[in-house]
Amino acid sequence: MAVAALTASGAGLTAGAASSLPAAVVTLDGVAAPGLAPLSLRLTGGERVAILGPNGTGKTTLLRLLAGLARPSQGRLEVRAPPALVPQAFAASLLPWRSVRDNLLLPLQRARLPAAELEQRLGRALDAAALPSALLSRWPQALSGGEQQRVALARALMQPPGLLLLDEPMSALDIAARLAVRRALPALADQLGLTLVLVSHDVDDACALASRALLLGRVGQRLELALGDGGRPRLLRALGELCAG
Amino acid sequence: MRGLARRLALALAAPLVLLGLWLALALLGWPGPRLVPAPALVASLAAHELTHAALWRDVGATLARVVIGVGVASALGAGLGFALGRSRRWRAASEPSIDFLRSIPPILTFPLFLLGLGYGERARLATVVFGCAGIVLLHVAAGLAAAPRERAEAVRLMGLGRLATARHLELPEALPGLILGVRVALATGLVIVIVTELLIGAPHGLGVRAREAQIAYQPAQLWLVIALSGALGALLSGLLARLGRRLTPWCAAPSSAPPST
Repeated sequence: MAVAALTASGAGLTAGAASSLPAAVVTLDGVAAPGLAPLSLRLTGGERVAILGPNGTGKTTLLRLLAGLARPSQGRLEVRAPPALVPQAFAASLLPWRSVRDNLLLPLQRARLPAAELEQRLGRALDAAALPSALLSRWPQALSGGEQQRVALARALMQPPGLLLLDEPMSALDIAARLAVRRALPALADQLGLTLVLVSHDVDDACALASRALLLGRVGQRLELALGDGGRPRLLRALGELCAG
Repeated sequence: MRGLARRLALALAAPLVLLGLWLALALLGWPGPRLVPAPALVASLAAHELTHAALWRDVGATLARVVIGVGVASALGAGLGFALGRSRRWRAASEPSIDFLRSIPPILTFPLFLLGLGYGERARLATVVFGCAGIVLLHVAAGLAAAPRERAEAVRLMGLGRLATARHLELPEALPGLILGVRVALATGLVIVIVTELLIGAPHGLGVRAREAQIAYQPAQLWLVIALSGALGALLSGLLARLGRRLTPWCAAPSSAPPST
């Protein structure tokens, strides 16, 4: 398994074999960055966690750190799985000169997989993102916002990554698509053993996709909650207290 | 059918108005036949000249200079623009130099190139390259620099190599800017070529024809040269726009379908 570690000293990315390491896929040890107060977190393989909190608490920054797109200003960050990110600006992340199909296949460019395997992965990603196959031959810019968001989600599922980072991945989806993704994505994540980090302002999305929640407060408060039975009211109450405080 | 007729009518409206104005001025005799010759005179001259090889030799000479000069400038400008567009640091470092160079009227370098490269085509070509390379460079660099960060980050997370990133991300990102830059450069190149032909050292060309017509008091010939220059520029620009639509189909209306793969 590939190991990527970032430290505040700027030593940068390191890679190597880690066969005898514990099952932690993500380890944050006092990690801070501009906009993100110090945070410690450990995620094991296959875990699904939702990050919630008011605006400006560093949720997107945290995802960018995990994706290796930003560096921590302090602390130690270790990521032991290849990340894939669905950014908040999902439309801008699609390549307008490639059809939807070619956008989805681009992450597999280097893999040189047989055609049957490609089609199987394509079908799986389309199902999980609730994306009709009729859209494959279109330009991404010809799609609606919700459809574009589902293309970005399907593309992230194509590799498949070990660590799936979702920044408000259903913000533009209509209710039918949202319900379909809530049903299909956790199943696919379990099937592929994906570790999932979801940033969302939607409590129902968080409860449907994640098994635990991490709440970030404006003045560096952190609160972890298990989701599941009775998770929604607990989460709502905790969020209310965090925002009020 | 009705749509086609409507488009044709719209396209012809402006030229017909201009022709009417020209006719009125010629009939009124204002401001005089040396500046505004009668349309019939220019038309009969055009009918005569268009059947003679001498005119096409001049058009061909000007066209060849523009195409070669702008071609070299585009290759140079695209390469440099690509390098600058990819690097914020290089862009920042080179901005003052680029601003300085593009503030120099290209035609001012012609006498220098004449002295250094001799009184021939090389000096003319060098002037066109100097005047046009910067235009292409700026368009390519600006296109790359303005690309959304999310696209580059998405491709980076896919783990594509440098070559694949250049092929699948940076080249398509730079292409619309390159095409627009070459279109602008063609118009500038045509101006530079004709001005250098007017000045010195060319056996043939539309500029040479204009200079000779001015010396021989032939305003109708000058009007013909002016019209041909405009037509040449419009033709080149139109061809490039067509090529651009073919090479960058994603920039067209979103309802268009991608080519099947």
